[in-house]
Amino acid sequence: MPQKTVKPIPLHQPPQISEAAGLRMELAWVGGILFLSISFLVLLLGQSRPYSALVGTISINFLAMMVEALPFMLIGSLAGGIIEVFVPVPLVEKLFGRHRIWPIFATAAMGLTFPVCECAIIPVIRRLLGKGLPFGAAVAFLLGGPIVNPLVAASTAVAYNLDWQMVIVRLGCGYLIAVVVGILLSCKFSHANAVIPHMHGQISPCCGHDHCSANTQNTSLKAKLFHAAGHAADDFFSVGYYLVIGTFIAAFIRSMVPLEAFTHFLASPWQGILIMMVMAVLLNLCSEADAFIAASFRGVLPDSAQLAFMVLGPMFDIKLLLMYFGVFTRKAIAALVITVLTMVFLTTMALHFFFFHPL
Amino acid sequence: MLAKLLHGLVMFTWSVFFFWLYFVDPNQLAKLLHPKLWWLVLTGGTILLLFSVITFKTARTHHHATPLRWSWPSVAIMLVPLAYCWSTQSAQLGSHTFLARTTTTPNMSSPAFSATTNNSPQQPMADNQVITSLSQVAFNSRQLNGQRTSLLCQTMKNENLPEDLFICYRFRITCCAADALPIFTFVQVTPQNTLPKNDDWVRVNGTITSQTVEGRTFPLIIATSLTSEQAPSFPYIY
Repeated sequence: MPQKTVKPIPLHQPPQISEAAGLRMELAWVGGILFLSISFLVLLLGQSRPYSALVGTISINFLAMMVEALPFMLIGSLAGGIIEVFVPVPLVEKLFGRHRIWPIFATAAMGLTFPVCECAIIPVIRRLLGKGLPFGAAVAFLLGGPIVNPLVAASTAVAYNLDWQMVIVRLGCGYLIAVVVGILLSCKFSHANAVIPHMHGQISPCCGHDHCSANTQNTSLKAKLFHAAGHAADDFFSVGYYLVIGTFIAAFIRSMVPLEAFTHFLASPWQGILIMMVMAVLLNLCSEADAFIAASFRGVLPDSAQLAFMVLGPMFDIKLLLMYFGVFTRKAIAALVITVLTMVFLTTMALHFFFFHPL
Repeated sequence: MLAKLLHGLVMFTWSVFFFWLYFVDPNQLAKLLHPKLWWLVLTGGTILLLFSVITFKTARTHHHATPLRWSWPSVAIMLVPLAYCWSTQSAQLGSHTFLARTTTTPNMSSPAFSATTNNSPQQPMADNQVITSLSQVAFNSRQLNGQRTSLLCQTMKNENLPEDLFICYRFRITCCAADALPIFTFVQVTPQNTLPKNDDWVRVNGTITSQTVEGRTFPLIIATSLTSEQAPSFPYIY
């Protein structure tokens, strides 16, 4: 009897690990082991008397930052999961997809209606990119969202004794830089060369769960919520360990480096601005708390330097840099970081000479 | 499947930790976070519990692209902060943090502090109000000159300070311990008072005055008594 040909069962095939992805995996593995070893050694060091107070301080800072940042990140992941399941791709394409530039102006100010801090924004960005948000617009939201929002405006106002000029200048600066960086990067980068290939797989219509987002249109609300939470949990784990590593480094620096170390280089405004930018990157403060640290430098540093600290911190610091690796390619991260640093420096220098201390 | 189960287990452990902080050990939470943000811990614990349940439920059906032999360090990294929780139990922000986070202390070996201050306080004010807020003393010492005070604070003494002076400080936090900034006053004691060890908690009773050093005015308390105290449940000023 002739054999009847049977169609193969369409089983889900996990994406093949390419050579490049394998190399990245090995590097991540080595980095992870290195971090685990260092953190374990520091913990051991804390058992010896001369270092117990210092390690105790590092532990308090580390755990405090984690306990504060992790819930924000979870909320962000949940928002990302909801976007994934409930926001259809055609809607994002209709709203943002037809133009490359104009959505940048809108997304840079999106924090006003969707206030997110820098820890929460990464999972949201991951999902929005997956839904087709143009890269430039995503960058504008990534940079502008944690500054141009009502919570940051309120905390800045309180820290600066209701000095509304400082509040407006901070938010205005954040918006301007987010827009300019978004436009500049969108000239050179797109999804294809800026978003990591590994993430393309995760946020494509068929995502590795036992459903396809294309099929969720007909499922019940309960099932959709279940899927949204499933995506959110995956996102949380994909970016969470970057947060842990970044927070540990930040806690270490926060405990070891005295503030006075920075005040020795303040002969001119550009030095003050540069030093405060370095501090913003190293201290990794939450955008709702950094104004209070900046305000403690009133009378010591020019307003422009305090502003540089408050504008750069929510856009770029060690913790964020590590989290960017979960979304963007190395080239895109390098371009993003260089453009942001340059823009913050030039903008605050210009404000120093033309606004705070007019020539 | 095993990787997913591990993810679920990590999230469940974090969830238990958050609930433990909130419901069982609020003193530990007070050491880390401003009370206005405690809702975050409860929210985080609830979301993590939800995530862990869903991860356990979908573990069997999920196709994970990264083999466990490569992904286990990222799972272990997520647990590192919990390991550090152990060493925060007996720790507190102390004089090391005070020195690292202040830019406003004067040159403490300045001659103005090298001798007993001759800046005698005025007579206590008629309303006899006792100031108990360190912030009030630190920021309004001129206006409060002559008022009586009773402050609970940590102590710091180093070789730059004259024999009869020490610093009484506490940290003010906005969000979490990482953004804590010190608030302090100098305290002058009589030879009868035994100076406490650095970072001990003491209650200082005395009279508020101020001292100008290098053109800047610093609060100074002329102490009448000094007693050791337990660390308060809420160690920071909010």
